[in-house]
Amino acid sequence: MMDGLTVDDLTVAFGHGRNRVVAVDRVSLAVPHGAALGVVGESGSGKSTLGRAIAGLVTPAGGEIRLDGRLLPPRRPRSDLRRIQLAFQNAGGSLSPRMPVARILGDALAAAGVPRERRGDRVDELLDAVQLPTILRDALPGRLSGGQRQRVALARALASEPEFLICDEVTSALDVSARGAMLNLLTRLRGRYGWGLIFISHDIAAVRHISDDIAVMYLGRTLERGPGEAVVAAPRHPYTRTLVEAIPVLGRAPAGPPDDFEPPDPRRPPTGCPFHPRCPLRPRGEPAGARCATDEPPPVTRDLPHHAACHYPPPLEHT
Amino acid sequence: MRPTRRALLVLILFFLALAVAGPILAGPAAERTDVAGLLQGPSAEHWLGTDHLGRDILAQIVVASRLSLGSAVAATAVAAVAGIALGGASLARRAGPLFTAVLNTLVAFPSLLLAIFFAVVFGVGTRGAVLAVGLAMAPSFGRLTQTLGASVMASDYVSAARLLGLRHSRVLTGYVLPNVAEPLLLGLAFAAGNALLVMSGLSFLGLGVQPPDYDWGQLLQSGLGQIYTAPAAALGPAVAIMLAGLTFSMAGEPAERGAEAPARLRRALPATARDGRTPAVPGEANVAEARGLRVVFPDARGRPVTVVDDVELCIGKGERVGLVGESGSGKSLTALALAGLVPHPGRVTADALSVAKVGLLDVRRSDRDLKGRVAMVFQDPARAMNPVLRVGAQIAEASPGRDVVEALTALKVASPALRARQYPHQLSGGTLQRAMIAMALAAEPDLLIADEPTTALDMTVQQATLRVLRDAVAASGSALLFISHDIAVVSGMCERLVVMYAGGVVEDLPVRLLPGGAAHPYTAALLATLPSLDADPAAPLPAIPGSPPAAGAAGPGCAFAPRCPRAAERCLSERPPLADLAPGHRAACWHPLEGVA
Amino acid sequence: MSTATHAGVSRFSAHPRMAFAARRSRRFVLSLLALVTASFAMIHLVPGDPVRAALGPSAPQDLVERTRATLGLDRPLADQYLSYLRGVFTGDLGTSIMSREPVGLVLEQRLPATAGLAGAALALTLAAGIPLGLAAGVLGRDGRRPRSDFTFTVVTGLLSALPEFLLAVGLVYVLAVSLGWFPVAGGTGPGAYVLPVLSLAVGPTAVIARLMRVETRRALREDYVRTARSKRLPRRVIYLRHVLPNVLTATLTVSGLLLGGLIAGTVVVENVFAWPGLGGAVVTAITGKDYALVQGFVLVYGAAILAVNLLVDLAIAAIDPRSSILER
Repeated sequence: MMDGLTVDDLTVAFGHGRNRVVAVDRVSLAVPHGAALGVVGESGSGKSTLGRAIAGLVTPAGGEIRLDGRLLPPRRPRSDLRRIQLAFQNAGGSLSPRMPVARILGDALAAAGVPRERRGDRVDELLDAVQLPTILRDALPGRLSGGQRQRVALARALASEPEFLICDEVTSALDVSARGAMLNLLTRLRGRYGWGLIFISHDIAAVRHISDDIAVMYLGRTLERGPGEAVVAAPRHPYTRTLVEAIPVLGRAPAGPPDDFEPPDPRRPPTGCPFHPRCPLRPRGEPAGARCATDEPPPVTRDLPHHAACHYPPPLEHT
Repeated sequence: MRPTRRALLVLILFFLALAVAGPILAGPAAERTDVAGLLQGPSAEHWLGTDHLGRDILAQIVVASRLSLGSAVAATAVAAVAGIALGGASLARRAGPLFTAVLNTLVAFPSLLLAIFFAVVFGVGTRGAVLAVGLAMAPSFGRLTQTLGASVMASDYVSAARLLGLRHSRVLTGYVLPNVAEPLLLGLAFAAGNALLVMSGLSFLGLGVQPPDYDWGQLLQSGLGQIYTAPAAALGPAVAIMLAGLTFSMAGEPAERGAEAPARLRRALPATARDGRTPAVPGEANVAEARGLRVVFPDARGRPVTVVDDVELCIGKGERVGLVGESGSGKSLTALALAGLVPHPGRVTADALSVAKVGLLDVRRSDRDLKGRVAMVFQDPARAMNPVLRVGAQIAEASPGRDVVEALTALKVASPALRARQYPHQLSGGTLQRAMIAMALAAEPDLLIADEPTTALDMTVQQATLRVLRDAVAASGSALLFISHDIAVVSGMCERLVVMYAGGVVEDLPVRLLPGGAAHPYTAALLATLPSLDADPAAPLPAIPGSPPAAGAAGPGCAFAPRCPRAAERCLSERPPLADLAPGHRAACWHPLEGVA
Repeated sequence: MSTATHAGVSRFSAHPRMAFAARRSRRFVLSLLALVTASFAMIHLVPGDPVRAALGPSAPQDLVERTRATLGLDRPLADQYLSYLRGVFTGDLGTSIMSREPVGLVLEQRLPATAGLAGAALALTLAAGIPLGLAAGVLGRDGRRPRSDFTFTVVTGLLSALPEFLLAVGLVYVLAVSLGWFPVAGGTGPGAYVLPVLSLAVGPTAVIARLMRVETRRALREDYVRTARSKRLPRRVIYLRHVLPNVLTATLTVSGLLLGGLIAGTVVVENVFAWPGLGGAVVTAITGKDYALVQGFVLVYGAAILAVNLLVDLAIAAIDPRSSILER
């Protein structure tokens, strides 16, 4: 697929020698213009690093990122940086503490080439679009609530008129009752401006609501990728199933094994399939788990419709 | 701090003016020798007396200010240039670590010793001393630059600025510099104070300014020789050095880390049970009881803010009660009040507040009375455990004599003997939380309060931890107060649910009535926002418009009224009491929903 | 969320402190080497001819040449460096130009006096500063005793900003001149120690007391103190067992610098009180351009600072189990 954002075999690593951590491990995915991809994972899955790498803030150790077929080099030119914007997990930290809101947005507009005379109006338009009152123009970030800062960061991303927006855990710090509003806002803005969206979160229910496709990450690898509905309703990877089952259900006592387990050390990931030490699935017909411990399942590609990196995936269900 | 800093800046200007104008004004007086009046004490003519050549000491001090302050400023300039260069180099990609290692080693050496070292190289005298002191202070300035630079460069706002496609120069001037300038300037002021002291020290030793020039350090040295006969000759320069040095140092001191305790409550609270009225006798069957519970904190100006407002909560023996609310609901403080752990400067008042028959507001009660009655598990186990003590030791503290390994095994911790010997940072979040639960249950409390125990954990770990918590509580027979913002989680753990909003209880109902039986609109709205995997993704998600009121800012009526779809006139003006709707079901609403059980 | 290593857990947890001690000691040795090199380089960085400068402009040229040859300054640089290194290891640090005595002998004679002074001041600093600061932190918590707390802050603030020579002058004036309780210079016996030790110790004591107070306040607000309270432990246990070790770590981190400053302070204090230690001879050696002796002083003071920092780092690692895992 030449159109849109494509990522092939992306790898990002930190540290050296014994302390080297592969945060993103041969990840491939594709997001067409205007589409939405959800990236789900727990802590240590590498989803935030993936977002930063796609935005161009982190230099990958391997792999390619292309926009409309054109390769984006590791040190991107400024015009390319603007095309893919990122709403940071810690919105407050992404706003310079000494800059009032109007200047934060004004800088973004200036960088996007908006002439000085138009900037004032555009700032008001942007604040309106993210449902913030315009009296906040002169406020410093320190005076805003968490949710308001989140929206300012969003408005700044919009000011650059990006082709793709990456949202990194933008709902995690919000109250439960406010999350829905943020997701609705994102959906509405996407419909209005038409950018593609990569929505990163640990909340699989929120991801499912806002995304067309979902990719599930674990220890830097994509374990499953497919249409949102299918991935959640009929997951093909045991880890995805574990995630879905972990969603609390009203009135249901906590189920599943009560045993404690050690999260894997990212510096020394398990051999073979990274999930095999925790996998509840007993493979049919093979000596239990032998193959899973030694052979790594082939990485998830970006062209198969619904692919899971598992030696024993259930057959694809056709709806 | 602002007015003090302003006063200091004025003082600094005074000193600088002194340095410039001093020699001009007092020069002649300092040089005039008065053969008749040698070594005289303070008098009307010579305020600080005269030295061994009959020269006025005060005048000499004024004249010396130029050399002292001037060389201090010059040395600071040298330190700043060398330090910023060194610090900047240590941030470079390739050679950075080498410079950092050099910096780390140099910083360990005190300025005076480094200054003496450089004085050997550059020679004694003013010029040599300025270079020596400047280079001696460069490492600490370099360290400051490095720390500031590293934190700013790693910050998200710089990354965001780069993402906007801004020119590099614009990122530096607009985003890096403003956030670095103030700390650096403060560092400069502090360094100037230091430079003055070190410089004076060098001159005092005889390695700095050489005769016939003199600065305060030189004056101090010659004055010291006459301290028995004319003490003012030594004390005068000493005071000058101290004043100037202190002024610069204090002007540049960063705001103290760890802000001081928040303001105390200025106004007295209305008379309450705490003031001597006998608290109501606790009900027989109740493990915990709160009636009319109120928790008040002072705001920044000392005015009282009611964070928990007239809460009623009773927990029976072995009962599992859930407390649900969002930010600002007051659920955590309610729990802390029940545990007797509300932090200073909060004030707790209630008509009745007791746990396991121990009155929490009784002034005669001591902490020990609550031992074994109520225990708490907090949200972040990594911070709730003491990092320098072993996990096993901390569990043992809760209940001496109890077998720690057995306590951990009951919570299904793998390798419990090993874990007991380890330190908290060596355990993963889920395991550490199990250890905390073990610690809380070790004392066999009548009531266990768990405040968002799994919120900080990964999703896949949450279920297992909740399961083991539920099993352990059931095995111990304790009652449970489980607090969370997630109503689904609470409903899976508890038999009864108490919903809080803006500091008050809005509904108290059995879990089996959910979801259709919820009577309060807020409860219903919370239930509607629960993620449902069957919902139509095309439809907008349910959300509650607006946000909860700030603590203490709710209006006279129902706190939820501004956001409630069913709100009417009465709701905005009159606060609904918590009223019985059915046995075991209460709600604070003028128009409760007619639910289906 | 922290993750623990799985298979290697017992092996790792038994020895991270050893690994840290080994790494830190290696750094110590490298720093010592750098110190020796710096000391060597010092006289070669001096502009002009050091021998001529030492002997004076009127000394005859052949005396200068002979002295230069005796000091070995006519040999190539690398040669000189190696023989200097060898000398440091064997204890041969050259000869003092002024007194004609071996440098090693001078150092040996004067070191005990300085060590005694520094040691006494150090002991006083820790013994007084730590308890004072902890008490101030605990007694004034939550806004209690605001006036005493304020006084404490102001007094320690002033004292911590005063350099030793000012304190020495002040103490001399008050205690020796005005009250006549203690001798100023010369004098033997414990009485002679009082003024110099006080001059050295008062400032660092104030710094440590201040720091302990701030850190104690901060620690008292931490979650683990709340947990300890929820276990209904007696207050003494909370302060001494839970709070103190955490607070000591921060204090120790600063102590390295502080103690280094104390060692530097001995130079000044010894000059004020005519103390027969190293400091008394440093200034004359420098002004007299007795470079071999100055090099000796640089080595001794520098090594003392490096050793103090090493000991502090090891002490921190012993108390705080997390620090030894940090990459240094």
